Amino acid sequence: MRPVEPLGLVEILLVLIPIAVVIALSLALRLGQVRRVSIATARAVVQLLAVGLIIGWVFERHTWYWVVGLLLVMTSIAGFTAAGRMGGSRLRLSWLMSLILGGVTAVALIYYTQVVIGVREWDSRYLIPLGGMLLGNAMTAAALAVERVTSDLAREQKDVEVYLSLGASPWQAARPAVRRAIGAALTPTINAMLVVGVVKLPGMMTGQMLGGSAPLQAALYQLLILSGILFCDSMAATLSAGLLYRRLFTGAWQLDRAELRRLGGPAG
Amino acid sequence: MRGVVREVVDDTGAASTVRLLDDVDLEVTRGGLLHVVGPSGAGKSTLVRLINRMDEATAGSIDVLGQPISAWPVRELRQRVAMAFQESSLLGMSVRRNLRLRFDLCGDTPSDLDERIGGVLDLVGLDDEVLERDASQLSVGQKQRVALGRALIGEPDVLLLDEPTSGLDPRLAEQLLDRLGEIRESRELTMVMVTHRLEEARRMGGELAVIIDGRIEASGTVEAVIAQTANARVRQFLLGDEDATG
Repeated sequence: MRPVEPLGLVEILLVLIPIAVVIALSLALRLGQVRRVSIATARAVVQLLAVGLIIGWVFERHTWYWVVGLLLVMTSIAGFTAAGRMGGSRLRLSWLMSLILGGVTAVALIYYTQVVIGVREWDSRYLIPLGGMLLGNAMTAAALAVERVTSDLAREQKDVEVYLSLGASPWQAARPAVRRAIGAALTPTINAMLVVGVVKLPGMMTGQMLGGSAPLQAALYQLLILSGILFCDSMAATLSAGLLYRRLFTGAWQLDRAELRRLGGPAG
Repeated sequence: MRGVVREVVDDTGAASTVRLLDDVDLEVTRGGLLHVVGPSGAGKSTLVRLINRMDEATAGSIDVLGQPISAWPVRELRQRVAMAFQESSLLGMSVRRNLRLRFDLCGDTPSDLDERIGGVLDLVGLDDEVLERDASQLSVGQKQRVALGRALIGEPDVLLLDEPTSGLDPRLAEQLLDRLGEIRESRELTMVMVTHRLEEARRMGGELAVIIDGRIEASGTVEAVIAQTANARVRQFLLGDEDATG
């Protein structure tokens, strides 16, 4: 099989033509999407070029500290992004999220690369792409779980207070909401697993086939990554919802109304 | 039970701090009954919520059964000072589960649970057949009774009631109040009851505190407060209430 055909400047300009068509369509039909599409395109171009250059540079180094360094940078960006989506830009929350996401991803990465695939070295070709995928998914799951637990507790304030008034601990009062939040965080991954290969071919599998892998091998790698994503999603969602529901309660087992109002929107 | 609450502020942030309660000094003797009346938004609900520590006083002190509330383990305080909220505080589960929830939460189910459930249903005037029904399917009156039963099943020392008759028609409300009076006497239960209907306080007797804009404007026995108060704001509230309820 031939390796993938290289793309250059000319090809990238050609790639931008369909996007220009989208913009033209938006202008013609007054869809109001020009600004969004332009910004998204510009960001995608800059971010992908940068990440391509950086990862390429790390690939050439073949040293463990560059690999770990890059993974750590990715982890903190994921931690800060997740914390931002949880309505708290505070440093402590960002650190906590980085710790959860980093820990979960590290466990999965070690298992899949060392035990399953059997890469016996710091091979950035495996660690960086797998790490990025797992981290990104875990970040989304954690943010979803925490957003959901917060909004549910705000919406069901009354029931939560009934529990508390009967002598329930914050954990007992929040447990139904935490359980639902973890379920909600897993839904996108589970849905993706249900239709994978039938309705759409996942990006990683497509990429591997473009890169010259046999379709069956690409499918098996896709199975590996799905298993990893499900694991990381559920660990990250459980840990973050299981720890962060507590910030909506005071030490004296009361709902923290100020915090609910701040985080839970108008319902609080 | 004794409480001096210097203030309770709504801590939405320094810019919008609202003082909800200010200089409230009340005492209820064991087995006594205190009605808290006042216009809506006066701070009545906040006041009862302080007693079982659902809200926290920012300054002042509250003693329950001779001990400051902060010295009680929270679970024990809330189980000894039971609370029945305003309407529809039942959880979306069967009546039986609602009733036994407080035991399930602390993991000690009494051996005589079934008798207790039967006794409490009797007490609030409900039939056994409601037990397996989903609480959401009950009528407003039945819900209020189940909520009351749920508060009573652990044999608390103090019962806090936040408008227990809201949503009931006058005949059902009277029935429930009479029932409450009987329960109080038979169990020596201390009761604090928030209401916006003066008529209810008159019917049940006991003590009365009129709270307006977070301050106690008058307190004493129900008859004394109604007959004697010279405070213009209290008079205005009491008379307004007379007009409103006929």
